[in-house]
Amino acid sequence: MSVQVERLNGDTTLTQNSDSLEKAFNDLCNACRTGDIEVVETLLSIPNLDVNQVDKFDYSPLILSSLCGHLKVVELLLSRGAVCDRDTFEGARCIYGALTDEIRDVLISFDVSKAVDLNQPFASHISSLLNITNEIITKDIIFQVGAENLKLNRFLLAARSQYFQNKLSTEWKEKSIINMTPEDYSVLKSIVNHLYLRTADIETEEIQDKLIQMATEFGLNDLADNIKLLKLVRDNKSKSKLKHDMGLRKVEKARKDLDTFLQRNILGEKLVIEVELPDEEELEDLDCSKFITIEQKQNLMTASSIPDIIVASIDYDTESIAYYPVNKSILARSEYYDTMLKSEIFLESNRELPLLKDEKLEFDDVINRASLVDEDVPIIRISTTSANSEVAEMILSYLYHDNIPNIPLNLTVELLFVADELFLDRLKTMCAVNISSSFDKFNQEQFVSIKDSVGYNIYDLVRVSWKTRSDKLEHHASKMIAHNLEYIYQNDKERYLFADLVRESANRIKERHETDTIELIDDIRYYLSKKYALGDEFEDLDPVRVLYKAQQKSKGEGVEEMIEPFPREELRIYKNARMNYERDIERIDTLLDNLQLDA
Amino acid sequence: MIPAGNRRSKIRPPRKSLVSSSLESSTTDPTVDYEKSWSILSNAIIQIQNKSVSNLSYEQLYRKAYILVLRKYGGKLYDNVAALITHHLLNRRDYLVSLTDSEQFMKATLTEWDEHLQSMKFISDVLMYLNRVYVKEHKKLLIYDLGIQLFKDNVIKYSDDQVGKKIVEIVISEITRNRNGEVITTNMYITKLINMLELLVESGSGDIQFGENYYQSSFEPAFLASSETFFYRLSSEYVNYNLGTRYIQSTSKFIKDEESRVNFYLPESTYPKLNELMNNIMIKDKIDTILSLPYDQQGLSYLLQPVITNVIEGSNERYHIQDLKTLYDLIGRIDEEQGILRNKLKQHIIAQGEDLPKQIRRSLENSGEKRPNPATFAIKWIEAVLKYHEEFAVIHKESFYQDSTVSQAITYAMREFINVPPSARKDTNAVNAPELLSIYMDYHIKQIGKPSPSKEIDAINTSDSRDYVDIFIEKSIQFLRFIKDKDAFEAHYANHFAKRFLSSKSGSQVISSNNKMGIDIEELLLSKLGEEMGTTSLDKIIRMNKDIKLSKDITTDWKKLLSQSTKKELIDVELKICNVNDWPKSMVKDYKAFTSDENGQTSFIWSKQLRPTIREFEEFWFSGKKNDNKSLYWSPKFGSIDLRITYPSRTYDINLSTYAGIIMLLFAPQSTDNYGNLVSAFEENKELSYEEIKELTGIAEIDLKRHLQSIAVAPRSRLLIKSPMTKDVNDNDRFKLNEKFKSPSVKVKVLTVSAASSVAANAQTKVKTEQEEEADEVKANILEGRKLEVNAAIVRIMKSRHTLKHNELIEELTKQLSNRFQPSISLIKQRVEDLIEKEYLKRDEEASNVYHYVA
Repeated sequence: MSVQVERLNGDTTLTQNSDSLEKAFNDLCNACRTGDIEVVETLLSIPNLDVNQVDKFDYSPLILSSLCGHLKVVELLLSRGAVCDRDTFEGARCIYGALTDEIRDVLISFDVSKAVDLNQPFASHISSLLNITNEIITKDIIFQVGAENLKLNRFLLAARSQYFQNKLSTEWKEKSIINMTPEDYSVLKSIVNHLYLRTADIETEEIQDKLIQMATEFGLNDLADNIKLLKLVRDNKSKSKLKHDMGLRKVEKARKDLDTFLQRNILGEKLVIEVELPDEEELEDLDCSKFITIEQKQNLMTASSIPDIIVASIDYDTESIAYYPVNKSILARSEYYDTMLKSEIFLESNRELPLLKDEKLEFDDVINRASLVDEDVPIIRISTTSANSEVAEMILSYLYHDNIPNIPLNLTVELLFVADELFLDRLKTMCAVNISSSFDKFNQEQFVSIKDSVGYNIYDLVRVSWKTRSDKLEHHASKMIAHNLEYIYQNDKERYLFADLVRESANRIKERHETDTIELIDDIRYYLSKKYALGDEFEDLDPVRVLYKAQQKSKGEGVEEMIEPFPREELRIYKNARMNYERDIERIDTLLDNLQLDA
Repeated sequence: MIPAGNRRSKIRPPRKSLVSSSLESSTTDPTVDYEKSWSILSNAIIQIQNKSVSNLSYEQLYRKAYILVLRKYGGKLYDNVAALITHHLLNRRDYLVSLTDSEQFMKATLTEWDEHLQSMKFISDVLMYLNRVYVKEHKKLLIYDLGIQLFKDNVIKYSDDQVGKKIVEIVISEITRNRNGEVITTNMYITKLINMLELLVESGSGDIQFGENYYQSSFEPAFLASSETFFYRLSSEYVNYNLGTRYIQSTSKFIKDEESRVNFYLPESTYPKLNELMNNIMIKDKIDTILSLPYDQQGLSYLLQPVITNVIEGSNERYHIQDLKTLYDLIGRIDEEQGILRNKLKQHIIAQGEDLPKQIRRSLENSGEKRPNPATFAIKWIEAVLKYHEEFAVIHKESFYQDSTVSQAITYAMREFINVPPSARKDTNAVNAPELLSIYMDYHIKQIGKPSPSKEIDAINTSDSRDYVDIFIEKSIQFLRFIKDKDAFEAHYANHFAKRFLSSKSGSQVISSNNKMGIDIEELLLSKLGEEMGTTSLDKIIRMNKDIKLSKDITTDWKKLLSQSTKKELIDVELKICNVNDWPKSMVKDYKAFTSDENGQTSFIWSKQLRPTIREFEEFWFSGKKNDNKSLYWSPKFGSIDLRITYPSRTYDINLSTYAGIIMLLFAPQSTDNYGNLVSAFEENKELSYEEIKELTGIAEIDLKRHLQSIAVAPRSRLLIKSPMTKDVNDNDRFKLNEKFKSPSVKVKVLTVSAASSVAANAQTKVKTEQEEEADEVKANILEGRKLEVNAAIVRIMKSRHTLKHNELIEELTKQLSNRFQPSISLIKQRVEDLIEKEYLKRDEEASNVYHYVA
């Protein structure tokens, strides 16, 4: 192997041409297979060698060293910019193919997809807004450079740049077609791509300076800084690492921008009208558009958030309705709103939107904002389930930038229902996690306090989980019950509530199949066995087994006192656990008998 | 956190209604709740179905459905929606059934379908939560798919498929009308209806839609059945035209139309089924009958007739290119290998080919040739066969897409009729291809040798005789490839080759005078033949060719010597010296007959004028170092003599055969006048009797009579006068010089009366003619050659395989020898016996059909 190293060292001067680069990459792959860290290190010093490329079998050096179990090589590669992204095929392969757990852990600790995971749905939604084919018409401004038209969303421009926000509220307020003076289309295109979180070309040297200039003019300092940084870096490895970091920061910046936009331009300009609310049952059919005057609505339309739709939220506690000037593009992140906005029924009950046209051109996909009247901006209820503005604002927060800084426990269930109504699966998980992480002790104190802080007792939480099909919440609640079975049995009311829940669970299943299992009971039994640590992994503590094993051994070797069959202390614990377990199981069986159920 | 209650302006119960449990019974009756919501939803659905949606609120409807599902009314809602849609559809169905006009019915059905799909889309938008939650959990059909199912069950299939059957029936009847050439206005309806039927999938119990769609289960079988009947009727109609071309054209047109029809109306999956049906009924079942139709009903024989007409009459008739192409396409639909076409083509080509000789003879007779000589026939036949091949090449290219399997079949069939096995040659029309090719080549080589090309050559040759040579060689080689018994060709060719040399005036034919390359045509041909067949098989001819070259060299040497000589009596001689072993026996067998043998019997007497030259040359010859142990014999049978004879009219340069020349020399002036000058022959007025001539020359009787006929009977070259003036030469005839001989040109060539006509004249002669002798010899040569080749091949095979069964040996032999000739089994058996005798092989002691090689 040392011979090879020498040869490779000799070769490094030649690596500027692609043939030798290809050869070097093949050598690198081989070294990653064999785990020769010296060769890998030598090869990694070759300029221009992309460590993240793949060979003809789609193997990257990182995958190879991970598969072959060379921890040191894996660490070396990661430290030199090899990317392991769980969301990509290569990354997943890398992690699942890791030979040892140790390597797997290292890989996961370097996994970039943790960050990506958080941003991905958000980023992809924002960039999809630029798609040419978008059934929901939301674009309302055109940047014209020569013959090229860039159709854009005013609100996003405003959200992403103070410069645009100023322009849009003044000079561009009535204008829909903006002739951009720097006549370099590719520069403007890069800026727009950056704003819409698309891959923007910031590397072409010819346009870099113009880009910096324009970005600075538009107040996009982060973009300008990034290009400046990029210009300084010469070697490709650092460049790709830098670009990767920039990608993450870019998304982070956008989320901040939209957060600010939501806080200042939407929530800051919401309209709250006090209303005499009817009874709860009738809230469902309450038409919120009836409580707002045309003037109020027109006023709301001119909000700095440049809304094309208004969402209303009833606040039960304050007997008021809050109206938020929002953007269809963002609402469409929820499948419910998306379907509604595309639905013929919705479209037919609203006026056709005024479209942009001038002497020469007609656009069927750009709104003429100047001629938008109050009838063109529909008012919809944010949800049926919630009658709380705080919940509504959390929903908006989630839709605008994916992030809800702090979900109050007492509103979590309500939020969970809304998330279910609006098909926001990730938000549902967030709600479930919010509860489970707040009650992670499973002790009686938490068991009792849950009702006060969340507003629902544990049995109702199980029901909530059924309704919202939230498995995570269901499991957590079941576990909570399993851990507090003794308390439940000592308390008549609790026992009564529990029995009721078990009956319901049994009925739930009977609805579907004629079968004996009751999901809830199964879950509780499972958590009981976990609680008393009676799983297979503890079989060594089973006295019968251990004794038997010891006998077998001593027979074979004729040595009596080789080891003490089991530690006395542990045996005691085991006995105890076993007893408690049996007792809890018996309790459940009795309960089932009482309910005349079989499981 | 501030307790929520502090902010409340009113005390209200917590919003628990979402989490209903049996304990906390709802304040209102849940069924009333349901009915209220359902009445809103059902109203909305009815409005959607009535196409008035403008006053509906999506939000509200979604919310109603959402709440119902949340309150566990999902199943009830689902069933109610289904029932509502069913009710609507049944009404629409009644309307459809009431329509009697089919076009109106089609249109209305499609409208119902489109509107139903549209309203289902709306309904499914509204019931989104039901779809996503209840339907998914209970594995039911999505609302939209449910709509399609309901349409299928309540419109199409309701009441024993009443509407479905009507659609199928109408669509099929429309397509049938279209097939019959009627213009139909319902095209768009048909495609759309079929699309619709395809979407109507039979559903299983759960959410999976599987199984056949209505198109597959109901439409397709009915359509195929009706198509079958239609195809049967149509194709028998076409067959009943009793006209091959019309069948081909009509069928092809129909198939083309049908294909575009199917492409237009039906899904791809039906196409193979329909295609198979169509191909089987319209082509497969009929094509054999059609191809076998007689000429006047335009079967294949009619389609191929122009080929033979063009060949025989030299006309340039258009072939039935398009029909043949269409035919090829049709057959290609049922058999990519074109099996039927190939078989039929073979049959026709063999039949036409076997008929060719008869046709050629007839056309020769018609063109007024009195004596169709073998050469004329050979040329015509070979040209005809080659033309035939060319004509087929055109058809192959234009009609058969240059399909290589078809080309193989054509070649195979042509070989079949060209190579008539000897056993079948008794038929007068049968031909001996190897011999005819040799005759053909002989004729052309002679033509090329002629200083001024004959008219025939002009016909082929435009300006450059070089082209003519190339074309000739190319044609010869091309034809040679058709010949199976190449060895037979070689034998004939060798014979002709020898004859050409021996009877030619100069030593060798040179391609006509304007040839720049100066390549010897014989050499050229030999090399081409060598390329084609391998030089070993041409060994004999090559050696003959060597003799020819040698003869030329000797002649040159001899002439050089002669020019230095002072002896006046020596005359100019072109020498042809042949090695007896290499030349055909029929020509050289009697080489000794012209020299006095040991018994002193001299049969032939050389003229005294020639003798000094002969003596001188012999001296020259034997002095040559190479010729030490060789004997030299002179043969007057071949060659010619140039004589200058002064007739009273004028002096002529006369070229005549050696025999004739020697006869004429008898009449040369023998005496001198007073001044020592030769007396004119006419003054001498010598008269010789037949017997005297015979005695003075010693020429065999047959040859003598023949040559006397040439110079005393043939009108153009009557150098002598015979008395009495009969056609035949008789023993009592007397001859003298013809004083009145006249010829338009100074140069006169005396043609020797052919042996055949001479024989005809001497009908009684029992002796075999020279030609028959030659033919026998060629046959014997071929046979002998084959024996050797079979022997060699057997030894070759056995040497490498050591042990072989009889059948395997035969198989191997046939394979090895196939490009030379077709060995007969009896020949092989005979040769095996021969080799066993010679101890090259031995039979296995136990199994008599196994041979071993004896090293």
